[in-house]
Amino acid sequence: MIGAPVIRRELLSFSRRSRTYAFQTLFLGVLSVGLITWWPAAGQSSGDVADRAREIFEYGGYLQLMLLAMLAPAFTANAITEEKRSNTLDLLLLTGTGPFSIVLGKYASRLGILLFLLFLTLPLNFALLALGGISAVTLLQEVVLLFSMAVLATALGVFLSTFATRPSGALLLCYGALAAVLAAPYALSSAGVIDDRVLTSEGLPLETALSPLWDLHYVFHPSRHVSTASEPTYWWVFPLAAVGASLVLVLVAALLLPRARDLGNRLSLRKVMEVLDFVIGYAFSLKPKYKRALAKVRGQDPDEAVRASFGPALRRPIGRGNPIYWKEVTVNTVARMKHWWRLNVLLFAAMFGSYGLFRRLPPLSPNETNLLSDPQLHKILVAVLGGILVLLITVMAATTVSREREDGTLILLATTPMECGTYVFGKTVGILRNVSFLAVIPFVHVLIFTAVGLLTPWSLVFLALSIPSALVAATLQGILVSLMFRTTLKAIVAGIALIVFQFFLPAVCCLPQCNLPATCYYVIEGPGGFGGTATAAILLAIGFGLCVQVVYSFVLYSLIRGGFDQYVGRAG
Amino acid sequence: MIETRYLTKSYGKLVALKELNLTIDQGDIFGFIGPNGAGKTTTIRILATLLRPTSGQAFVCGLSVNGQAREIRRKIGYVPDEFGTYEDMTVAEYLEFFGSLYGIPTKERKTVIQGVLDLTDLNYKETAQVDSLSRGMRQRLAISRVLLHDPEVLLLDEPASGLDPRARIEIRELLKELRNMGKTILISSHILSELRELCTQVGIIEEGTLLFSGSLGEAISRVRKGDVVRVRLREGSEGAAALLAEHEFVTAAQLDEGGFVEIRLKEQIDDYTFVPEFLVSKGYRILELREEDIDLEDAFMKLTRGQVS
Repeated sequence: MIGAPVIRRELLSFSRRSRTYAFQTLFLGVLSVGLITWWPAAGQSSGDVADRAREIFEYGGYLQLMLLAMLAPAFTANAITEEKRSNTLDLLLLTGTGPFSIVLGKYASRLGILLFLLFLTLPLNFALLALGGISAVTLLQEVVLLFSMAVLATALGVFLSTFATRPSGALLLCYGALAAVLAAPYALSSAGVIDDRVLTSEGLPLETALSPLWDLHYVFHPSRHVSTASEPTYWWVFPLAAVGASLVLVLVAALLLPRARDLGNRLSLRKVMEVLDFVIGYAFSLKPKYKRALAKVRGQDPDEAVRASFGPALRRPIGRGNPIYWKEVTVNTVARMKHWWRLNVLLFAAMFGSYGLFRRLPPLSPNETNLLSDPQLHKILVAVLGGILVLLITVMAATTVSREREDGTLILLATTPMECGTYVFGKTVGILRNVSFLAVIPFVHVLIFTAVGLLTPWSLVFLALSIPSALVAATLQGILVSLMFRTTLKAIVAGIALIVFQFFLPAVCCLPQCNLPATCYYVIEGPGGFGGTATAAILLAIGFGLCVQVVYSFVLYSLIRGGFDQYVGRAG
Repeated sequence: MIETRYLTKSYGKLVALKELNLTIDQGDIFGFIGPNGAGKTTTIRILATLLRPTSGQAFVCGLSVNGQAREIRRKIGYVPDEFGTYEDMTVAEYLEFFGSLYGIPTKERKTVIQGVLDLTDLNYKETAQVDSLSRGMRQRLAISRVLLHDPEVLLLDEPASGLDPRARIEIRELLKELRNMGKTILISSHILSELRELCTQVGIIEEGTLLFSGSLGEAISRVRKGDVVRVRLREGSEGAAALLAEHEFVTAAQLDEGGFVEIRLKEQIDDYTFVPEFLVSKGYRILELREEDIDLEDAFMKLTRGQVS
């Protein structure tokens, strides 16, 4: 059988890892807790029970889809990268095991684990089937859809793992690609590529073919997508497309596997950023001939002036500052860009460009003329930006220590007299400084729309009180995760899982500050959105949230300080 | 300068170090020898304050690793067996970064960095990216890093591992220079010929137990159970071997593959001048006489095979 030795080895190593069983327990645990919580109470009418069963089935389907999107990259991102890092890929290729066998073996073993997870959920689904409200056909369609999502996500992970030099790179790319697949219809709809007519007209509905999320909705509520019950349903397009795309991805990965290392080096982020740096430097600065002319007028060396403009960035001296901070803001790909701050100009240009697009789209609220003048849009936009910021900062913080550990540099730091405070302060401020150019975007956005009278100035005040403290806490949280987990891959998955958990937290313990997207959503209001009492109440809530956040940051810092020496691997 | 007393380290049921007693004086270059998994790295990591011993004591510059780790870190320089690199950092930045972590004042830092770059002959690579350096250069950079704060003790774990002969010679010359500067150096290595040239003391460790600690000469005499002398005669080698085998100072005598008479002396016999006198008195004509050379490799092989323990 093709790939059999690789599959056997992979399954053997999976069976020895505690992570495999932890994931299975987590997956089933989350679903079981949901099922028990939502299970219909005794004494309800059969109609109510059926309605509840349908609700559980629907939300369970979405939850499984999201969990698959979270877990599949975590399982697959290191499939080939680990072989490359441990120099065993060349050994495998030298044994005569063909690249197709290697890729297929990696793919099939990881897919097997995920499909096994889905298989474990079948008894829960059969229990719902017994309650009524859903048909066996719908159940079958959902299972096929989820299986196809697993097939696609695994293939994507293995494909990206072939080219990435680090598992963390493959993981983040895979999350990005899956997020794009899930959100594709909304993005295309926003861009005007597909519109409402497609949703109800005859023919292939594009959005369901593109996204499993929409396809699942299509399976659960066909009447919302087709005008009459007699219209054909196209739920099977995505599964078919997913399997086809997976085969192509696996085949391309196998074809390119012998040159994987070379390709990975050529496609490194550093090189991409160097090219981008050169391009934005060239686009935004004076052309060399003008630069030469200016230098002549100033009495400078014209060649030196051109060299200084296009040559590598001059290094920043550490001076008496925090060396860890210096490293964070100097020794990274973005900081190495000579024109990095001009990324802001590009971001602001994209932001203003998006306003033109939003202006043309219909509003969310019925009494507004267009989407841009609808405060609801700004609430959602700022919430999304807040979510992106928190996720980004968590991922950055979660990789910061584990990457040093993997590179073997943490041990060098551990033998210096470096103190916990120096390390954590340097890391935290450095990470915040690195994302500062992104963090200003929600402020600028709200400032613009406050200035034109679309939003209340209180929104800006609340935002200023919420975002900085939430970002500090997210950074400390990420650093703690990074210190606790041995590999970057585990740290990223744990960090993201923690953030996703916190996004659901306000419903449980009413700590809005821990959930930046929700906070951003609630503090953005149109003019007169907050009355006198409401303003005072929200101010109080934000103040309370700020206190909670400060306390939370102290708790996190205490946890880091308490186990710092142990985390960095040295005797205290 | 370095002292361990009944130092023990266990990882669960695995005992990596068993009551290790070791003393290294100031200015010594101590070669730490042992097979893979013998406990060399564990010892060095405990002394570098990266591991806490399960029991026993370890002192560096009179400071205990249990409780005075922070003070010790200012006095030691540790080069691990695997070199960690910061991508996107130049050689000068790398040294400046660690210089600032060791708290070298800003004004002095540039001079110190130039000094260590001169010493390790890396000045011409000052602006090169660290990840672009060859393995030998990286190792010299690692030594530059640990010299920044002028430590009294250097802990070097396999510094010549994986280097080509030229890079190995360069590292050896660098270490000789450090020896002349009066640094106390603990160096673990598999390349015994290099330790022989470099070290004033050696320690041989196997399965977490220190089998020997002392000078190289002591190590050799410890494994030498009676000298071996070889003699080449013009004629009558077989008869001479038979006669010598009967001599009161000789354990055994036999012909070897090269035609020499191999004479193994009794343990307490140091002086072998009786051999030529005896042979001449019996009418044999001696062409060549030599004492068998026992070096560090032999000592290592014999000691770690448990012949002396």
